[in-house]
Amino acid sequence: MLLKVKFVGTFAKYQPDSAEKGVAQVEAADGFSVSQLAQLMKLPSDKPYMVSVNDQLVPSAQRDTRYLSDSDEIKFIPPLKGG
Amino acid sequence: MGWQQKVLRVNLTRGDVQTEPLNMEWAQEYLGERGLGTKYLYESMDPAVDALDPANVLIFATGPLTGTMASTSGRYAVVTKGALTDAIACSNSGGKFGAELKFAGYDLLILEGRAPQPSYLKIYDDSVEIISAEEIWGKSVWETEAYLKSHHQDPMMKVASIGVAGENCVRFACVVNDLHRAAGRSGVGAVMGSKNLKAIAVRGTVGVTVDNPKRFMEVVKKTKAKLAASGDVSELTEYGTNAMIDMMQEFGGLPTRNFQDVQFEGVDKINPSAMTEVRPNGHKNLLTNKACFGCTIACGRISHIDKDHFTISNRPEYWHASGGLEYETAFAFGPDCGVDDIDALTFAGFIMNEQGMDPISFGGTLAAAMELYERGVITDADTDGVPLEFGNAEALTIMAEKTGKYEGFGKILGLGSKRMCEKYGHPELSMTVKGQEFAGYDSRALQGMGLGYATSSRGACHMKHDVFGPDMEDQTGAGKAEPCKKSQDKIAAIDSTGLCWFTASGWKIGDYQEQIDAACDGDWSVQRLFQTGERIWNLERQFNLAAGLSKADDSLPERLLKDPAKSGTAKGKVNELSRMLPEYYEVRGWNKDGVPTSETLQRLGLANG
Repeated sequence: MLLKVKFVGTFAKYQPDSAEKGVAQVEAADGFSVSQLAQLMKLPSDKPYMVSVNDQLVPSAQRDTRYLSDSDEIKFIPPLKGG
Repeated sequence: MGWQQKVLRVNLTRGDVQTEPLNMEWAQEYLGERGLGTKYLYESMDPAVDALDPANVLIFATGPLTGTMASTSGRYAVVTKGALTDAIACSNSGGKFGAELKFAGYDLLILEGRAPQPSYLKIYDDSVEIISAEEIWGKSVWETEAYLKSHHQDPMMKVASIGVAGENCVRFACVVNDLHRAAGRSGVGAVMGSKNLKAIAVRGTVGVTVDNPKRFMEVVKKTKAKLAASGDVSELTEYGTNAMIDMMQEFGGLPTRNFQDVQFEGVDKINPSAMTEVRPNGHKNLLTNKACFGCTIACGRISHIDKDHFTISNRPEYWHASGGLEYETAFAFGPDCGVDDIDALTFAGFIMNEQGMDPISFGGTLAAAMELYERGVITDADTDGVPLEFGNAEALTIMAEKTGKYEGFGKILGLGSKRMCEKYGHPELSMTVKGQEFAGYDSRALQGMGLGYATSSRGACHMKHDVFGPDMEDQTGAGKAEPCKKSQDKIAAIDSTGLCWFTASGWKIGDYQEQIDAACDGDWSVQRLFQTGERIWNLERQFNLAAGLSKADDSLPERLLKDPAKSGTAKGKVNELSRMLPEYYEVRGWNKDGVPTSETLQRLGLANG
């Protein structure tokens, strides 16, 4: 399946070379979970951040079991801080 | 020591200048800066007086770590009854002024009364003079600082002043120090203006001592290294606070067009990438970053405007570099007003610093005026012929100048959105809590942020609590009360140290505790810091209750409670305040009306005030 993955703001540093304007098309096997995608993209495992799938927030505890489908749009969003 | 153990008290009405020993019992209970300022304020005035009455008291408070070698030790707070909110105001600032006030030998400067004519205060260590401000009344912040340094032939002097906005008691006027750092929120500059006080110029040579110098140096070395190693801090240095705008956009919590929307189509034109983009003519908005006194983060931005831009093409006086876009300024002038012209945003930001105004409240008020205009409630006849349509960059910059100079429709905007919307019969269009405009976080997407906004002592504010962690995991009101309360207490303590809250990107509470414990008399544990913060929060509540505020003021605008978010991760959601607030009161030890119980007051040592 083909996933549309967006790396928001400072998370642009995790985007693959193929990404254009922070968005990458990622080929993944059926049954791939959000956690597996995050691991594949080398997102930090020791820090909080946000993930949305088709604009639905996916809490950390659900990322292992939130399975992805073809054409899903995933956003990796850095942690929020005051400013 | 940490503390200088000395307070400077100035009665402007009588022209009295007195020093008094710092009440060390209070210092042990309230630490400094925000906490100690609040205690002195509470003991010095009747909270029920009008904010612009001479009986209001204006306090500049440093913390025990202000002016030390600790990272970010330039902070000071301005504590008073806010002109915008009629609630307690505590607005802190960086730059160099706070450290200089400490070097002059003072923990607090307390200003009472009203000067019979425009005046400024000159403090050179023990030499304190009240001087006529005839030459600078009517001048901007920038002109005032230049005049004072030149007139006193002292380029090293540090100045905190108000602009024309503050002189005219624009409700969200702020106090600006070092040209572009500000005690920005709640109208503390209007209070200063109401006292006929134009500026405070200070030089200090006393220095600051700490309780255990050897241990303090070791702890500071360790904590600075920790900041330097933090990836989050590095991002703050590299991108500044405006990095937040992309995150809020994609999250769907970026308030747009007076909170009618939560995502802004023009965000790519005003984000950090736009700030660093080199244009065909070679211009780039961002020049560099800048640090406050002792800061090892340097989140401040220094920008300049394209000379071809309509705002300055024939105004060379603005062809210089100055404070650039930070997130809250970018949000308030950009998405909230629907404007995507980065140079217009930068220019309006310059005007905020030049005339001393809070960009969040100005932007929020203009956004409300734009909605009034688009609904036909006000017309060109009200707005000096300027079409206040969302997205009109020219309207943004014209109104920034009119408000700063207190001219035309700028006088109406200078009321703040609550008073302005009430004047036009549409209070529901004011996006405020306790009269203060929101920061750039929509509380339909960030539920705990909404609870923090509603319960903040100084009105809508994003800097007095930190519920981002739970809000990033869950977009309901469940489980938000406890972390909201705990973070409010923690931040109240940190705000009382003399250090910057942005250090929390790299430090835990234990890092602050170690520095305080090494610098100050007494044994300061993490638990004691939390209890100090809780004591401060409850004293602020006591002040507000005595000022006439009540549970009804712990609320959010109907728009956030009834109109669902139209897009983003919170699409279809409203804020669940009614679910969170009772739970919050309970964890605070307050009764169902939001009043601290006698047990809570007793536990915190507040039973007798």
